[in-house]
Amino acid sequence: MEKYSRYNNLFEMPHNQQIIMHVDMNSYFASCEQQANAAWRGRPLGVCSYLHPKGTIIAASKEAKKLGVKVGTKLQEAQNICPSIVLVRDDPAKYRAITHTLRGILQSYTFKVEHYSIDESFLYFDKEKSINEISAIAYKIKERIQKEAGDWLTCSIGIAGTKFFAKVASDIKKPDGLIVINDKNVDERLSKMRLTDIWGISYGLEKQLNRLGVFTPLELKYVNAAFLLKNMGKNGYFLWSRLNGLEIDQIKIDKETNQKSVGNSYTLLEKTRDKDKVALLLMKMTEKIGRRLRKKNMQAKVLWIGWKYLYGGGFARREKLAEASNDSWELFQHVFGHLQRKILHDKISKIFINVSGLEKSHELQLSIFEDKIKKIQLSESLDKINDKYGEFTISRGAWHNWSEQINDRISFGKMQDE
Amino acid sequence: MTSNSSEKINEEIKVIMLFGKDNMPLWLVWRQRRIRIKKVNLKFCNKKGETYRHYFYVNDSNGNDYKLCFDAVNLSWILEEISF
Repeated sequence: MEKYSRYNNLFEMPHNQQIIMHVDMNSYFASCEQQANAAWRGRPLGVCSYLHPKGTIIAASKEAKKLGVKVGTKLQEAQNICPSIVLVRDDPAKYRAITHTLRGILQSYTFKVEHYSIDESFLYFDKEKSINEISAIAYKIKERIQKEAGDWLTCSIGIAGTKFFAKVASDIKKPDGLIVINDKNVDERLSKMRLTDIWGISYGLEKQLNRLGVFTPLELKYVNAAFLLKNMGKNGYFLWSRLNGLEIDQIKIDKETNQKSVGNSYTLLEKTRDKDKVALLLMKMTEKIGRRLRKKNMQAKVLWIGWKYLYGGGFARREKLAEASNDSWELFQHVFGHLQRKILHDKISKIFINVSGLEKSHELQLSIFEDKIKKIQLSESLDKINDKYGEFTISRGAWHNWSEQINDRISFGKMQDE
Repeated sequence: MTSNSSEKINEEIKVIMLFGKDNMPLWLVWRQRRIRIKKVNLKFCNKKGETYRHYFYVNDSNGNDYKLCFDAVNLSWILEEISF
Protein backbone atom coordinates (compact mmCIF):
# COMPACT_ATOMS: atom_id res chain seq x y z
CA MET A 1 0.00 0.00 0.00
CA GLU A 2 1.21 3.43 -0.86
CA LYS A 3 0.60 4.85 2.57
CA TYR A 4 2.95 2.29 4.20
CA SER A 5 6.70 2.69 3.96
CA ARG A 6 9.57 0.42 4.90
CA TYR A 7 11.07 2.59 7.58
CA ASN A 8 13.61 0.90 9.72
CA ASN A 9 13.35 1.12 13.44
CA LEU A 10 14.94 4.34 14.58
CA PHE A 11 15.53 3.40 18.21
CA GLU A 12 19.23 3.00 17.69
CA MET A 13 19.68 6.32 15.97
CA PRO A 14 22.62 8.26 17.38
CA HIS A 15 20.50 11.15 18.67
CA ASN A 16 18.93 8.95 21.36
CA GLN A 17 21.87 9.23 23.68
CA GLN A 18 20.04 8.48 26.85
CA ILE A 19 17.70 6.09 28.55
CA ILE A 20 14.61 7.56 30.10
CA MET A 21 12.63 6.30 33.06
CA HIS A 22 9.10 7.50 33.72
CA VAL A 23 7.86 7.12 37.30
CA ASP A 24 4.10 7.43 37.69
CA MET A 25 2.57 7.14 41.16
CA ASN A 26 -0.57 4.97 41.20
CA SER A 27 -3.88 6.56 42.27
CA TYR A 28 -1.73 9.14 43.98
CA PHE A 29 -3.99 11.36 46.12
CA ALA A 30 -6.15 8.40 47.12
CA SER A 31 -3.09 6.30 48.00
CA CYS A 32 -1.73 9.18 50.13
CA GLU A 33 -5.00 9.19 52.07
CA GLN A 34 -4.83 5.43 52.53
CA GLN A 35 -1.21 5.78 53.59
CA ALA A 36 -2.16 8.24 56.32
CA ASN A 37 -5.26 6.36 57.44
CA ALA A 38 -4.61 2.62 57.57
CA ALA A 39 -8.31 1.92 58.23
CA TRP A 40 -9.07 3.01 54.65
CA ARG A 41 -6.59 0.66 52.97
CA GLY A 42 -8.13 -1.93 50.71
CA ARG A 43 -11.40 0.02 50.64
CA PRO A 44 -12.87 2.00 47.75
CA LEU A 45 -12.01 5.66 48.40
CA GLY A 46 -12.59 8.89 46.53
CA VAL A 47 -10.83 12.19 47.09
CA CYS A 48 -12.93 15.28 46.37
CA SER A 49 -12.48 19.03 46.51
CA TYR A 50 -15.92 19.40 48.03
CA LEU A 51 -17.88 16.90 50.08
CA HIS A 52 -21.10 17.84 48.36
CA PRO A 53 -23.39 15.57 46.32
CA LYS A 54 -22.66 17.69 43.25
CA GLY A 55 -18.92 17.57 43.87
CA THR A 56 -16.76 15.28 41.77
CA ILE A 57 -14.09 12.71 42.51
CA ILE A 58 -10.65 14.13 41.73
CA ALA A 59 -8.81 10.90 42.60
CA ALA A 60 -10.06 7.35 43.08
CA SER A 61 -8.30 4.53 44.90
CA LYS A 62 -7.32 1.36 43.05
CA GLU A 63 -10.25 -0.42 44.73
CA ALA A 64 -12.72 2.29 43.66
CA LYS A 65 -11.43 2.20 40.08
CA LYS A 66 -12.12 -1.54 39.91
CA LEU A 67 -15.77 -0.81 40.73
CA GLY A 68 -16.03 1.83 38.03
CA VAL A 69 -15.55 5.01 40.10
CA LYS A 70 -13.31 7.29 38.09
CA VAL A 71 -11.96 10.82 38.15
CA GLY A 72 -14.92 13.07 37.36
CA THR A 73 -17.59 10.76 38.85
CA LYS A 74 -20.12 12.77 40.87
CA LEU A 75 -20.15 11.96 44.58
CA GLN A 76 -23.79 10.95 44.49
CA GLU A 77 -23.10 8.61 41.60
CA ALA A 78 -20.05 7.16 43.37
CA GLN A 79 -22.20 6.38 46.40
CA ASN A 80 -24.79 4.73 44.18
CA ILE A 81 -22.07 2.54 42.61
CA CYS A 82 -20.52 1.74 45.96
CA PRO A 83 -22.50 2.74 49.08
CA SER A 84 -19.54 1.98 51.35
CA ILE A 85 -17.09 4.20 49.48
CA VAL A 86 -14.94 6.39 51.73
CA LEU A 87 -15.19 10.01 50.59
CA VAL A 88 -12.59 12.47 51.84
CA ARG A 89 -11.71 16.09 51.24
CA ASP A 90 -8.39 16.68 49.51
CA ASP A 91 -5.42 17.66 51.65
CA PRO A 92 -2.88 19.52 49.47
CA ALA A 93 -0.31 19.90 52.26
CA LYS A 94 -0.19 16.13 52.69
CA TYR A 95 0.31 15.44 48.97
CA ARG A 96 2.99 18.11 48.62
CA ALA A 97 4.87 16.70 51.61
CA ILE A 98 4.85 13.18 50.18
CA THR A 99 5.84 14.47 46.74
CA HIS A 100 8.77 16.26 48.36
CA THR A 101 9.99 12.94 49.83
CA LEU A 102 9.48 11.16 46.50
CA ARG A 103 11.48 13.78 44.63
CA GLY A 104 14.33 13.43 47.10
CA ILE A 105 14.46 9.70 46.33
CA LEU A 106 14.39 10.20 42.54
CA GLN A 107 17.04 12.92 42.59
CA SER A 108 19.45 10.64 44.43
CA TYR A 109 19.83 8.51 41.26
CA THR A 110 20.33 11.21 38.64
CA PHE A 111 20.46 14.97 38.70
CA LYS A 112 18.59 14.99 35.40
CA VAL A 113 15.01 14.77 36.64
CA GLU A 114 11.98 16.41 35.09
CA HIS A 115 9.09 16.67 37.53
CA TYR A 116 6.33 16.49 34.97
CA SER A 117 3.48 16.78 37.47
CA ILE A 118 2.86 16.28 41.18
CA ASP A 119 2.90 12.48 40.73
CA GLU A 120 4.95 11.91 37.57
CA SER A 121 8.65 12.36 36.87
CA PHE A 122 11.04 11.58 34.04
CA LEU A 123 14.58 10.52 34.93
CA TYR A 124 17.33 10.72 32.34
CA PHE A 125 20.31 8.36 32.38
CA ASP A 126 23.34 8.29 30.11
CA LYS A 127 23.42 5.41 27.71
CA GLU A 128 26.56 4.04 29.34
CA LYS A 129 24.27 2.42 31.88
CA SER A 130 22.77 -0.85 30.70
CA ILE A 131 19.04 -1.54 30.74
CA ASN A 132 19.69 -4.10 33.48
CA GLU A 133 21.38 -1.50 35.64
CA ILE A 134 18.51 0.93 35.10
CA SER A 135 15.93 -1.77 35.84
CA ALA A 136 17.78 -2.45 39.09
CA ILE A 137 17.51 1.26 39.92
CA ALA A 138 13.78 1.09 39.18
CA TYR A 139 13.34 -1.78 41.65
CA LYS A 140 15.36 0.15 44.22
CA ILE A 141 13.18 3.24 43.70
CA LYS A 142 10.03 1.19 44.27
CA GLU A 143 11.53 -0.28 47.43
CA ARG A 144 12.65 3.09 48.78
CA ILE A 145 9.29 4.73 48.06
CA GLN A 146 7.61 2.13 50.24
CA LYS A 147 10.23 2.40 52.95
CA GLU A 148 10.72 6.17 53.04
CA ALA A 149 7.50 7.72 51.70
CA GLY A 150 4.89 5.14 52.66
CA ASP A 151 4.36 1.40 52.57
CA TRP A 152 0.99 1.78 50.78
CA LEU A 153 2.40 3.82 47.92
CA THR A 154 3.13 2.12 44.62
CA CYS A 155 4.31 3.39 41.27
CA SER A 156 4.42 2.20 37.69
CA ILE A 157 7.74 2.64 35.95
CA GLY A 158 8.43 2.70 32.24
CA ILE A 159 11.91 2.56 30.72
CA ALA A 160 12.69 3.37 27.09
CA GLY A 161 14.95 5.30 24.77
CA THR A 162 12.53 8.20 24.41
CA LYS A 163 10.34 10.20 26.72
CA PHE A 164 7.26 9.14 24.76
CA PHE A 165 7.90 5.40 25.03
CA ALA A 166 8.91 5.68 28.70
CA LYS A 167 5.48 7.19 29.35
CA VAL A 168 3.73 4.59 27.20
CA ALA A 169 5.59 1.82 29.05
CA SER A 170 4.58 3.08 32.48
CA ASP A 171 0.93 3.12 31.38
CA ILE A 172 1.00 -0.57 30.39
CA LYS A 173 0.87 -2.09 33.84
CA LYS A 174 -0.95 -0.40 36.69
CA PRO A 175 -0.53 -0.62 39.58
CA ASP A 176 3.08 -1.39 40.46
CA GLY A 177 4.38 -2.14 36.96
CA LEU A 178 7.88 -2.09 35.55
CA ILE A 179 7.99 -2.30 31.77
CA VAL A 180 10.89 -1.80 29.39
CA ILE A 181 10.22 -0.91 25.76
CA ASN A 182 13.12 -1.38 23.37
CA ASP A 183 13.60 -1.96 19.66
CA LYS A 184 13.07 -5.68 20.10
CA ASN A 185 9.69 -5.60 21.81
CA VAL A 186 8.19 -2.32 20.67
CA ASP A 187 6.06 -3.81 17.89
CA GLU A 188 4.78 -6.54 20.16
CA ARG A 189 3.83 -3.97 22.81
CA LEU A 190 2.15 -1.70 20.28
CA SER A 191 0.22 -4.59 18.76
CA LYS A 192 -1.63 -5.06 22.05
CA MET A 193 -2.70 -1.44 22.31
CA ARG A 194 -5.50 0.70 21.00
CA LEU A 195 -4.80 4.08 19.52
CA THR A 196 -6.27 5.83 22.55
CA ASP A 197 -3.88 3.91 24.84
CA ILE A 198 -1.10 5.98 23.30
CA TRP A 199 -0.01 9.13 25.10
CA GLY A 200 -1.39 12.13 23.22
CA ILE A 201 -4.07 10.34 21.21
CA SER A 202 -7.55 11.47 22.19
CA TYR A 203 -10.82 10.01 20.93
CA GLY A 204 -11.07 12.91 18.48
CA LEU A 205 -7.61 12.19 17.08
CA GLU A 206 -8.45 8.51 16.88
CA LYS A 207 -11.43 9.32 14.66
CA GLN A 208 -9.22 11.49 12.46
CA LEU A 209 -6.70 8.65 12.12
CA ASN A 210 -9.50 6.16 11.40
CA ARG A 211 -10.66 8.35 8.54
CA LEU A 212 -7.17 8.02 7.08
CA GLY A 213 -7.36 4.24 7.38
CA VAL A 214 -5.16 3.99 10.47
CA PHE A 215 -6.77 1.87 13.17
CA THR A 216 -3.94 0.60 15.37
CA PRO A 217 -0.72 2.02 16.87
CA LEU A 218 1.27 -0.43 14.77
CA GLU A 219 -0.38 0.81 11.58
CA LEU A 220 0.42 4.35 12.68
CA LYS A 221 4.07 3.41 13.18
CA TYR A 222 4.45 1.97 9.69
CA VAL A 223 2.34 4.46 7.80
CA ASN A 224 4.17 6.67 5.33
CA ALA A 225 5.34 9.80 7.14
CA ALA A 226 4.69 12.00 4.09
CA PHE A 227 1.13 10.65 3.91
CA LEU A 228 0.52 11.70 7.51
CA LEU A 229 2.20 15.05 7.05
CA LYS A 230 0.03 15.76 4.04
CA ASN A 231 -3.23 14.75 5.72
CA MET A 232 -2.68 15.75 9.34
CA GLY A 233 0.00 18.39 9.24
CA LYS A 234 2.95 18.49 11.59
CA ASN A 235 1.00 16.92 14.47
CA GLY A 236 0.61 13.76 12.43
CA TYR A 237 4.29 13.78 11.63
CA PHE A 238 5.18 14.24 15.31
CA LEU A 239 3.01 11.26 16.24
CA TRP A 240 4.71 9.14 13.61
CA SER A 241 8.15 10.30 14.82
CA ARG A 242 7.38 9.38 18.42
CA LEU A 243 6.17 5.92 17.42
CA ASN A 244 9.34 5.43 15.39
CA GLY A 245 11.57 6.15 18.35
CA LEU A 246 12.63 9.68 17.46
CA GLU A 247 13.10 11.89 20.50
CA ILE A 248 11.18 15.04 19.67
CA ASP A 249 9.73 15.84 23.08
CA GLN A 250 11.31 18.63 24.98
CA ILE A 251 13.29 17.58 28.00
CA LYS A 252 12.90 20.03 30.84
CA ILE A 253 15.33 19.35 33.61
CA ASP A 254 14.09 21.31 36.61
CA LYS A 255 17.12 23.53 36.99
CA GLU A 256 16.77 24.53 33.36
CA THR A 257 13.05 25.14 33.51
CA ASN A 258 12.28 28.69 32.67
CA GLN A 259 8.88 29.59 34.01
CA LYS A 260 6.87 31.42 31.43
CA SER A 261 3.60 32.01 33.21
CA VAL A 262 1.88 32.00 36.58
CA GLY A 263 -1.74 31.00 36.84
CA ASN A 264 -4.57 30.17 39.11
CA SER A 265 -7.92 28.51 38.48
CA TYR A 266 -10.87 27.97 40.77
CA THR A 267 -13.96 25.78 40.56
CA LEU A 268 -16.89 27.33 42.36
CA LEU A 269 -18.85 25.09 44.69
CA GLU A 270 -21.86 27.35 44.39
CA LYS A 271 -22.09 28.42 40.78
CA THR A 272 -23.06 32.05 40.53
CA ARG A 273 -23.77 34.96 38.22
CA ASP A 274 -23.45 37.43 41.08
CA LYS A 275 -20.66 39.76 39.95
CA ASP A 276 -19.87 40.86 43.51
CA LYS A 277 -19.12 37.30 44.53
CA VAL A 278 -17.06 36.69 41.39
CA ALA A 279 -15.15 39.93 42.01
CA LEU A 280 -14.15 38.71 45.48
CA LEU A 281 -12.83 35.51 43.98
CA LEU A 282 -10.91 37.44 41.34
CA MET A 283 -9.41 39.59 44.08
CA LYS A 284 -8.19 36.57 45.97
CA MET A 285 -6.87 34.86 42.85
CA THR A 286 -4.95 37.93 41.73
CA GLU A 287 -3.53 38.25 45.25
CA LYS A 288 -2.16 34.70 45.00
CA ILE A 289 -0.70 35.41 41.56
CA GLY A 290 0.77 38.73 42.72
CA ARG A 291 2.36 37.01 45.73
CA ARG A 292 3.93 34.35 43.53
CA LEU A 293 5.30 36.97 41.14
CA ARG A 294 6.73 39.09 43.95
CA LYS A 295 8.35 36.06 45.61
CA LYS A 296 10.13 35.37 42.33
CA ASN A 297 10.92 39.05 41.83
CA MET A 298 9.07 38.92 38.52
CA GLN A 299 6.38 41.01 36.90
CA ALA A 300 3.97 40.20 34.09
CA LYS A 301 3.17 42.01 30.87
CA VAL A 302 0.30 39.87 29.66
CA LEU A 303 -2.84 38.90 31.50
CA TRP A 304 -5.40 36.29 30.54
CA ILE A 305 -8.79 35.81 32.18
CA GLY A 306 -11.44 33.27 31.41
CA TRP A 307 -14.41 31.55 32.89
CA LYS A 308 -16.66 28.62 32.11
CA TYR A 309 -20.41 28.77 32.29
CA LEU A 310 -22.33 26.04 34.07
CA TYR A 311 -24.24 24.89 31.00
CA GLY A 312 -21.45 25.16 28.49
CA GLY A 313 -19.51 27.89 26.78
CA GLY A 314 -17.43 30.51 28.42
CA PHE A 315 -15.44 33.67 28.06
CA ALA A 316 -11.74 34.34 27.60
CA ARG A 317 -9.74 37.53 27.04
CA ARG A 318 -6.06 38.25 26.73
CA GLU A 319 -4.83 41.69 27.63
CA LYS A 320 -1.43 43.19 27.13
CA LEU A 321 -0.71 45.50 30.06
CA ALA A 322 0.55 48.99 29.34
CA GLU A 323 3.13 48.46 32.06
CA ALA A 324 4.42 45.20 33.51
CA SER A 325 3.15 44.64 37.05
CA ASN A 326 3.20 42.29 40.01
CA ASP A 327 0.85 44.40 42.11
CA SER A 328 -2.16 42.30 43.11
CA TRP A 329 -4.52 45.27 43.16
CA GLU A 330 -3.47 46.42 39.69
CA LEU A 331 -3.89 42.91 38.30
CA PHE A 332 -7.29 42.71 39.95
CA GLN A 333 -8.41 45.98 38.39
CA HIS A 334 -7.60 44.65 34.94
CA VAL A 335 -9.51 41.37 35.38
CA PHE A 336 -12.36 43.14 37.15
CA GLY A 337 -12.70 45.46 34.15
CA HIS A 338 -13.44 42.45 31.95
CA LEU A 339 -16.00 41.14 34.43
CA GLN A 340 -17.73 44.52 34.61
CA ARG A 341 -17.97 44.88 30.85
CA LYS A 342 -19.37 41.41 30.29
CA ILE A 343 -23.01 40.44 30.70
CA LEU A 344 -23.13 37.09 32.43
CA HIS A 345 -25.74 35.04 30.58
CA ASP A 346 -25.31 31.99 32.81
CA LYS A 347 -23.88 30.99 36.17
CA ILE A 348 -20.09 30.78 36.28
CA SER A 349 -18.67 27.39 37.25
CA LYS A 350 -14.92 27.89 36.90
CA ILE A 351 -12.56 30.85 36.66
CA PHE A 352 -9.03 30.98 35.25
CA ILE A 353 -6.44 33.75 35.49
CA ASN A 354 -3.01 33.48 33.97
CA VAL A 355 -0.19 36.00 33.58
CA SER A 356 2.70 35.67 31.16
CA GLY A 357 5.35 37.76 29.48
CA LEU A 358 7.33 37.52 32.70
CA GLU A 359 10.31 39.76 33.29
CA LYS A 360 12.50 40.64 36.25
CA SER A 361 11.00 43.44 38.29
CA HIS A 362 13.26 46.44 38.62
CA GLU A 363 13.76 49.04 41.30
CA LEU A 364 11.88 52.29 40.82
CA GLN A 365 13.60 55.20 42.46
CA LEU A 366 12.52 58.29 40.60
CA SER A 367 10.12 60.54 42.45
CA ILE A 368 7.93 60.66 39.35
CA PHE A 369 6.93 57.13 40.27
CA GLU A 370 6.02 58.04 43.83
CA ASP A 371 2.57 56.42 43.61
CA LYS A 372 4.08 53.29 42.18
CA ILE A 373 6.70 53.17 44.93
CA LYS A 374 4.00 53.55 47.58
CA LYS A 375 2.10 50.63 46.08
CA ILE A 376 5.26 48.52 46.01
CA GLN A 377 6.03 49.41 49.63
CA LEU A 378 2.46 48.52 50.65
CA SER A 379 2.69 45.16 48.88
CA GLU A 380 6.05 44.48 50.50
CA SER A 381 4.65 45.26 53.95
CA LEU A 382 1.61 43.03 53.41
CA ASP A 383 3.84 40.25 52.09
CA LYS A 384 6.04 40.44 55.19
CA ILE A 385 3.03 40.07 57.48
CA ASN A 386 1.66 37.15 55.49
CA ASP A 387 5.12 35.52 55.37
CA LYS A 388 5.31 35.70 59.13
CA TYR A 389 1.78 34.72 60.09
CA GLY A 390 0.53 32.73 57.08
CA GLU A 391 -1.30 33.40 53.82
CA PHE A 392 -4.21 35.86 53.97
CA THR A 393 -3.54 36.84 57.59
CA ILE A 394 -3.90 40.38 56.32
CA SER A 395 -6.08 41.00 53.32
CA ARG A 396 -8.38 43.49 51.63
CA GLY A 397 -11.36 44.68 53.67
CA ALA A 398 -13.73 43.30 51.07
CA TRP A 399 -12.62 39.78 51.96
CA HIS A 400 -13.86 40.03 55.49
CA ASN A 401 -15.81 36.82 56.27
CA TRP A 402 -14.78 35.47 52.92
CA SER A 403 -11.18 34.34 53.29
CA GLU A 404 -12.03 30.98 54.81
CA GLN A 405 -14.36 30.07 52.00
CA ILE A 406 -11.62 29.80 49.40
CA ASN A 407 -9.68 26.67 50.10
CA ASP A 408 -6.17 25.63 49.21
CA ARG A 409 -6.21 23.68 45.97
CA ILE A 410 -3.96 21.00 44.65
CA SER A 411 -2.89 21.03 41.05
CA PHE A 412 -2.46 17.92 38.94
CA GLY A 413 0.22 19.73 36.98
CA LYS A 414 3.55 21.07 38.12
CA MET A 415 3.55 22.22 41.72
CA GLN A 416 3.59 26.00 41.85
CA ASP A 417 5.41 27.77 44.60
CA GLU A 418 3.14 28.54 47.48
CA MET B 1 -22.25 16.30 53.26
CA THR B 2 -19.37 15.31 55.50
CA SER B 3 -16.79 12.60 55.24
CA ASN B 4 -18.46 9.31 56.06
CA SER B 5 -15.37 7.73 57.61
CA SER B 6 -13.82 10.35 59.83
CA GLU B 7 -14.75 12.71 62.61
CA LYS B 8 -13.31 16.13 63.34
CA ILE B 9 -12.23 16.41 66.96
CA ASN B 10 -9.88 19.43 67.32
CA GLU B 11 -9.24 18.93 71.02
CA GLU B 12 -6.04 19.56 72.93
CA ILE B 13 -4.47 16.32 74.09
CA LYS B 14 -1.34 15.08 75.86
CA VAL B 15 1.21 13.03 74.00
CA ILE B 16 4.19 11.05 75.17
CA MET B 17 6.78 11.44 72.47
CA LEU B 18 10.19 9.97 71.90
CA PHE B 19 12.28 12.70 70.34
CA GLY B 20 15.27 11.58 68.35
CA LYS B 21 16.04 10.48 64.84
CA ASP B 22 12.61 9.04 64.21
CA ASN B 23 10.48 11.34 66.42
CA MET B 24 7.91 8.76 67.50
CA PRO B 25 4.74 9.58 69.45
CA LEU B 26 4.19 6.62 71.81
CA TRP B 27 1.01 7.35 73.75
CA LEU B 28 -1.78 9.87 73.52
CA VAL B 29 -4.10 10.87 76.32
CA TRP B 30 -7.52 12.00 75.17
CA ARG B 31 -10.58 12.50 77.35
CA GLN B 32 -8.73 10.75 80.18
CA ARG B 33 -8.12 7.69 78.03
CA ARG B 34 -4.59 6.52 77.43
CA ILE B 35 -4.18 5.19 73.90
CA ARG B 36 -1.06 3.33 72.88
CA ILE B 37 0.19 4.23 69.42
CA LYS B 38 0.90 1.16 67.37
CA LYS B 39 2.28 2.69 64.21
CA VAL B 40 3.05 6.04 62.61
CA ASN B 41 1.64 5.86 59.07
CA LEU B 42 2.73 9.26 57.90
CA LYS B 43 4.38 12.36 59.25
CA PHE B 44 5.13 15.69 57.69
CA CYS B 45 5.70 19.29 58.56
CA ASN B 46 3.64 22.16 57.21
CA LYS B 47 4.67 25.78 57.50
CA LYS B 48 2.05 28.43 58.12
CA GLY B 49 3.77 31.77 58.09
CA GLU B 50 6.72 31.28 60.39
CA THR B 51 4.95 28.62 62.43
CA TYR B 52 5.78 24.97 61.90
CA ARG B 53 3.11 22.39 62.44
CA HIS B 54 4.09 18.74 62.56
CA TYR B 55 1.42 16.27 61.56
CA PHE B 56 1.44 12.64 62.65
CA TYR B 57 -1.03 10.11 61.31
CA VAL B 58 -0.97 7.21 63.75
CA ASN B 59 -3.09 4.18 64.53
CA ASP B 60 -3.88 2.10 67.59
CA SER B 61 -4.28 -1.64 67.90
CA ASN B 62 -8.08 -1.33 67.42
CA GLY B 63 -7.65 -0.08 63.88
CA ASN B 64 -8.51 3.56 64.62
CA ASP B 65 -6.47 6.28 62.91
CA TYR B 66 -5.65 9.56 64.63
CA LYS B 67 -4.44 12.77 63.05
CA LEU B 68 -2.24 14.60 65.55
CA CYS B 69 -0.83 18.08 65.15
CA PHE B 70 2.14 19.36 67.11
CA ASP B 71 2.51 23.13 67.21
CA ALA B 72 6.25 23.71 67.46
CA VAL B 73 5.82 27.27 68.74
CA ASN B 74 3.32 26.65 71.53
CA LEU B 75 4.53 23.09 72.16
CA SER B 76 0.93 21.92 72.14
CA TRP B 77 -0.76 18.85 70.69
CA ILE B 78 -4.16 18.79 69.02
CA LEU B 79 -6.11 15.68 68.08
CA GLU B 80 -7.60 16.95 64.85
CA GLU B 81 -9.41 13.95 63.48
CA ILE B 82 -10.22 10.28 64.01
CA SER B 83 -10.77 7.97 61.05
CA PHE B 84 -12.41 4.56 61.19
